[in-house]
Amino acid sequence: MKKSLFYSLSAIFFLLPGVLLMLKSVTPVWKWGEAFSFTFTLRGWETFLMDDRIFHALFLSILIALAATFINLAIGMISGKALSHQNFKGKSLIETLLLLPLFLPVMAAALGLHITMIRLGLANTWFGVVLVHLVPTVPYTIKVMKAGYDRLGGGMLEQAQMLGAKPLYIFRTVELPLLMPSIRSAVFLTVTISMSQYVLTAVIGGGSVITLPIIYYPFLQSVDDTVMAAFSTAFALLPIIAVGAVEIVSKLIRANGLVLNRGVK
Amino acid sequence: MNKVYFEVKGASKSFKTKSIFQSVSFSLQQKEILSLVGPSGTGKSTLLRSIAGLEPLSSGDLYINGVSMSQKKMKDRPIGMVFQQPLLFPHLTILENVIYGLRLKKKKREAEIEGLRFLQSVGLIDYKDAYPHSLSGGQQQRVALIRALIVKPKLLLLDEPFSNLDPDLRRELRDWVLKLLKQEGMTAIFVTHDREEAMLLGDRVAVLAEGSLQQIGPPRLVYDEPANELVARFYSDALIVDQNHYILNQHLSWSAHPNPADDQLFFEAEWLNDTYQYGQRYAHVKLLKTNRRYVVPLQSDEHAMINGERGFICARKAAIHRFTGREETDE
Amino acid sequence: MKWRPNNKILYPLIPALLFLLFVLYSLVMSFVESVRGPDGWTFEYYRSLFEEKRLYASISYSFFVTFISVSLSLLIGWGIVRSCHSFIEKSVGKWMVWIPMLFPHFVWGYFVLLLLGQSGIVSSALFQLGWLESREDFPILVQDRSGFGIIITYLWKEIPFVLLMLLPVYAQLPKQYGEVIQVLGGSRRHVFSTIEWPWVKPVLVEVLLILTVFIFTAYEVPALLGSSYPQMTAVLAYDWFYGISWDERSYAFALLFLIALVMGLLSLVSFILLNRKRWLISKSQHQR
Repeated sequence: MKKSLFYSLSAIFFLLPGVLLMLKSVTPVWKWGEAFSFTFTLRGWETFLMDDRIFHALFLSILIALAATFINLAIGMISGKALSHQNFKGKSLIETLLLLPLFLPVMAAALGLHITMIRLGLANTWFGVVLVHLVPTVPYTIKVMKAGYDRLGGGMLEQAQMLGAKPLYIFRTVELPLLMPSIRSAVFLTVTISMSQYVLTAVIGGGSVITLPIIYYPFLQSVDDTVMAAFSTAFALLPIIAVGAVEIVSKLIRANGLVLNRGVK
Repeated sequence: MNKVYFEVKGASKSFKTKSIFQSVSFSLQQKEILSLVGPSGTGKSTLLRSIAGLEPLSSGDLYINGVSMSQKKMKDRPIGMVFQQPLLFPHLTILENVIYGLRLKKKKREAEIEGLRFLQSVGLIDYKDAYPHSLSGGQQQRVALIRALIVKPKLLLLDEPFSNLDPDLRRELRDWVLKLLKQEGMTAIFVTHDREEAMLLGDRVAVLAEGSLQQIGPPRLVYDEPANELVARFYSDALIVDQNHYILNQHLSWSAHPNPADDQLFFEAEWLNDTYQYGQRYAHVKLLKTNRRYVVPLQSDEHAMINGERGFICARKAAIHRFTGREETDE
Repeated sequence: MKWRPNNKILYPLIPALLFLLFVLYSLVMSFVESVRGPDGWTFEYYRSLFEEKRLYASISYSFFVTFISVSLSLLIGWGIVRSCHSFIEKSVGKWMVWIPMLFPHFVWGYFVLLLLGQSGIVSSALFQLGWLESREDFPILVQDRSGFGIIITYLWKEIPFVLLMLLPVYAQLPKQYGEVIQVLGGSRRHVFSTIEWPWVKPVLVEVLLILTVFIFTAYEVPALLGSSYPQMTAVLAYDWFYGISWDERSYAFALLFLIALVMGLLSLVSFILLNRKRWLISKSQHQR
């Protein structure tokens, strides 16, 4: 009873909106008061993918999200491991402070950085935008990666060390495969959050770094709900694609690592 | 004197179609401690949990002073329990942990006074404001026991409370527990898979195996006169001759060659090793017929054999006994 | 020489500390910008900021929207987790909960507009069914002054967030303690107050703070679904930041810095208060 209620409500409130947006992206414009048409059309997706501005924005958004993800993972893994496997004075204070950016208005950070970015020549550049996208993402990644290293435990790495493995080899053969669930969550969160930033990108990108969110707003003025639905669906597809890409890359790293080492021995 | 205080009548438990134990019946007198032993996985813990009310019995009933427990809610059952792990609430101090049960019935001040008095009497008063994580495993288990005792349950259940401790601590703690239980005049059921522990703590011992109660009686009696093969194998030290007969280990000896005599029995066996314990030398041998291991007392000057060498377990025919039967009756 | 081991531990923390410095620097700069006048340092902008009528309208409006959105998200999300966590954790239900997380807030806002706007799908469907005479008969639910559209969007997006934050906590609630309380004579109420609440509280407070600061200061959704007056704080700050006068630019900095200060201190205090209990709970020695 409780179960079926939960499932039907989740289907209506969580699944249906996604399905509806996807459906809307392949059906003609629904004019108000006229019967809904379900004739299949690719016009929305064609317009979305053929538009030069959108295509450019898509490329730039992916570049920014990827760079932010890369920096996130680097910071998250290095400090997550230290926070999980080391004990030192003030550890809990540092952990708390590292979470603090989540409890601050990101816009304050963006405005505060604006002038410095101009001085450093980073304003209006994609890399400046990457830097400001770190503010709402890094705390999550550190948290997720720390939890991952907590689950992994120090014993497993010490065992690999005792067997004579070098740090890089341990990373490839033990840490990476066992941390995959955490890496997946971190990538998913970073890409989703990065793709959601309008105001940070607008302030630091200053109108010359055109990402998908930046042109999403002007597109809203058009009444073409088919194109808008395709545009909206694309936002949800990108994090999924990103997680898939990470999966493939990690498989490659692991496979190569093993083959290379076998060759050496 | 022989008044029944706690009684289990025809208790059975099954999960779906799988039967855990069937028609278990026994009774305890006031202030008596029963050790419940048996191989792991025979439902000792499930029986205990059913008595506590954490699991419902499939059939049968429990009585304390003649009052049926099965219809009572858990909070109305005067039964306490100590688990394998101390399970002290990590965010409460030792004193707060100890008086947790009291607080449900009494005012905070009264409970605190009683808690402090109890902690004082068992020498744990210095830890009253400490949090559980700063105590050792043994200390934590002591606090858990006090937490269960302070509400003065009519029956206390202990589910292998020492199993997570190292041997030295275990020995120390069980003496402490026995003393405390006797001092408080507690009626208790103590589950263990350690034979020595069962003998030390129990006024009587009950052997639960293959889902039913095989034998119940004073530790020495069950040891010397096992009711059947299962009890002999798990609780006694005896050579099982056949389904109906056994010879206690103390009557066995080891010989390299058969020494034919009318009153002697010989069982061919393989030498494995020899050890010393409490001043006595023992041979560890494997009976060829059943492939089962036995420990046989050995003269200290008997020369050791090589692992795998054949010899004989000998016993006098008069040492053969018949298993006393399936269940000992209460009378 | 004595310092060596400490330094060694610190090395891997350098990137994280640099990040912290980066965020701290940005806040300091916000403050600096808010007190920098044409003729040197001044707190004049703070004084005149508090004379702005738009500020009070914005703050009370933001407070209202935030309060409703956060409290309802938490209550509904917590309620769902409490009654359903046993089967959500290992089922397709969890995947459905993730779906709203995939979309940015502004996309979800657009979806609410598409669905509930005066020219939206629901309105159109009701007209086709003959239940509406005209488009104007449909109530103004989004881009309205009461903030209904904004609140609906936030609830729809944040309830799944609350679910996903609380589910792991409930999956790890130590069930054995429940048995201890039962044999000590406690009831379900005691299990709640002794185990569930202490375990859940830190996460609940964390989610509360994250959502509060986010909804109070987010730009994307109100920019899309809000009306021109009153404005949520972020929209007001954005207008001021890109406004013509220097004064207004300084107001933007002052406003955001004040919010950051209040929220930062509030969070820091709550965490310091919660950290000890949280730490004790992490020491729990039940079998997982």
